[in-house]
Amino acid sequence: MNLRDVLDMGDYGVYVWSCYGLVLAVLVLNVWLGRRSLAEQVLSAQRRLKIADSLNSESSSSS
Amino acid sequence: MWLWFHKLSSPPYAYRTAGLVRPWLFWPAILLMIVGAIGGLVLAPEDYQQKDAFRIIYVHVPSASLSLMIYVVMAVAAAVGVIWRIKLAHAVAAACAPVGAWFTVATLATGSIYGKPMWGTWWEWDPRLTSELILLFLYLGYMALRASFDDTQRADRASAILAIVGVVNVPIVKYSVVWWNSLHQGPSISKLAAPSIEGSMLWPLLIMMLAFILYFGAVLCDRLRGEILRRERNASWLSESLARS
Amino acid sequence: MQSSVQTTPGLGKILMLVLARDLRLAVRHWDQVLQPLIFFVIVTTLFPLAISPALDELRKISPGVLWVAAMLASLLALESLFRPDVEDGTMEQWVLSGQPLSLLLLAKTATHWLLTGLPLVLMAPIVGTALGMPQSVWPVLAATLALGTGSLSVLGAIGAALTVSVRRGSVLLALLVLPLEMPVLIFGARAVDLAMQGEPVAGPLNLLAALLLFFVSLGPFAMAAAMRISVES
Repeated sequence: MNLRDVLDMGDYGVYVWSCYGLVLAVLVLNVWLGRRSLAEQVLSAQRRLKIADSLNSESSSSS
Repeated sequence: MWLWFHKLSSPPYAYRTAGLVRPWLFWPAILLMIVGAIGGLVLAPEDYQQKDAFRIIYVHVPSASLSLMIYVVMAVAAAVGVIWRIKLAHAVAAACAPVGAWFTVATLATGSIYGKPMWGTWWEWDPRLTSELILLFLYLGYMALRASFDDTQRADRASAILAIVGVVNVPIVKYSVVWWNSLHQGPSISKLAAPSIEGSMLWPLLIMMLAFILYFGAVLCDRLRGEILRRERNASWLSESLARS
Repeated sequence: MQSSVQTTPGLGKILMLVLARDLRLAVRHWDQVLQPLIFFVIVTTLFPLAISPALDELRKISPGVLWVAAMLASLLALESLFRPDVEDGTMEQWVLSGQPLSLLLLAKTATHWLLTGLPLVLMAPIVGTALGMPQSVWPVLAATLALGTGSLSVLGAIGAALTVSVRRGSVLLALLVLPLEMPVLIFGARAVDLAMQGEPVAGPLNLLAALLLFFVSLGPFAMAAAMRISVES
């Protein structure tokens, strides 16, 4: 099977490749969404901890 | 074994474990996908009836299987969360939903594209596509219900009930759709049934299935960790873990 | 000193009281009870207008039209199933009362069926005739609707319990409940269709009966669990 055959897929090329492309896009999207949601949560948690820390150090320095 | 399970239900341990396990799921998944794709696109012989179009099954069937599998995992996790009051189980359920929904979308889209050269139409109300569509509605309803509660705990428990009711209904839906379809065209198989599959065509399919499952595990790890962070707002273990990561 | 002994009424008595109370309220607000039924007729009327006045064409789709309209009417009636009691605090009392909540909610669901499902069963043949449905099919129509609307009420009540505390939750209710009701729709509408073609209908009818039994026996537990979550603040 040469490259031409692989691309053509016996006239079904459009269908086969758009399916594979579509699924690839969904897979990539889900990895990206998963990573992004994790990163967002890490950032937000770090921010909260920083605020909590600064509040703690304030109260301990003022006491 | 039980001790490990018990440890696993503690959020900090699960957070760390998911982070460690993820690469071991993700990279093998990528590798297997490449192997499976090459096998399916190039190495497998063309089908007698469907010619090269049948190669779509190598992405369509794993997507369909996973869309259903993830729903079951989601429902089981939700049930565990509700019966044994394990918060982490609820986090798993929440993490599953968007991924499962996307797989359903992929199944519907590839099924539709597959249908065009095979039946000549972009859509047919055949049993598999129809039940995938209903499955998509179930996923969307689950996510919508979750979103309508501000309080995470209530969202967890309410959506758990919906998931359990849903998963119980899945076999009912499948059976009714098959019956409904058979009335129209006699007891024939789904129009999208994979062609009678022989060994040289089968192995890429199995590899892709395994690849998709590992992939799901990897994405679940990421989403689960995000859910854990979201729920453990004020836990003391956070500062240590985050400093490390 | 005289002490009046107050015994808690038995469970059966309580369920009767619940039914009676709901029916009394329904009689007082009979206009609210009528609305879903009028909706049923209006929705059914949309189809001849949208498709064709020809009875031959309407006859073919009449089972489906009647069934879809019944589903939507049943859905609308769910709005008032739990919300009033939740809003005035009655439901909270029930949750705390120690009585089996699942049975109390099942009793309320039964009233929903009596006020919505049962009238639909009675109205459907007449409305069906307007769509060209032959009289011979009436028994099957009535049977499928009687069994089916029961399941619709139970599934709907589960959705209603889940969404009762959600603001503007009516669309969400529809999104949750309609997919779950699709098998009931399939068996019910297609059974009437089969009857019109002279085919045997025992299969789908039995399935409808089985589904009803299944939902009635397990549904109340889901309802009660959902209600507890909705009612807690």
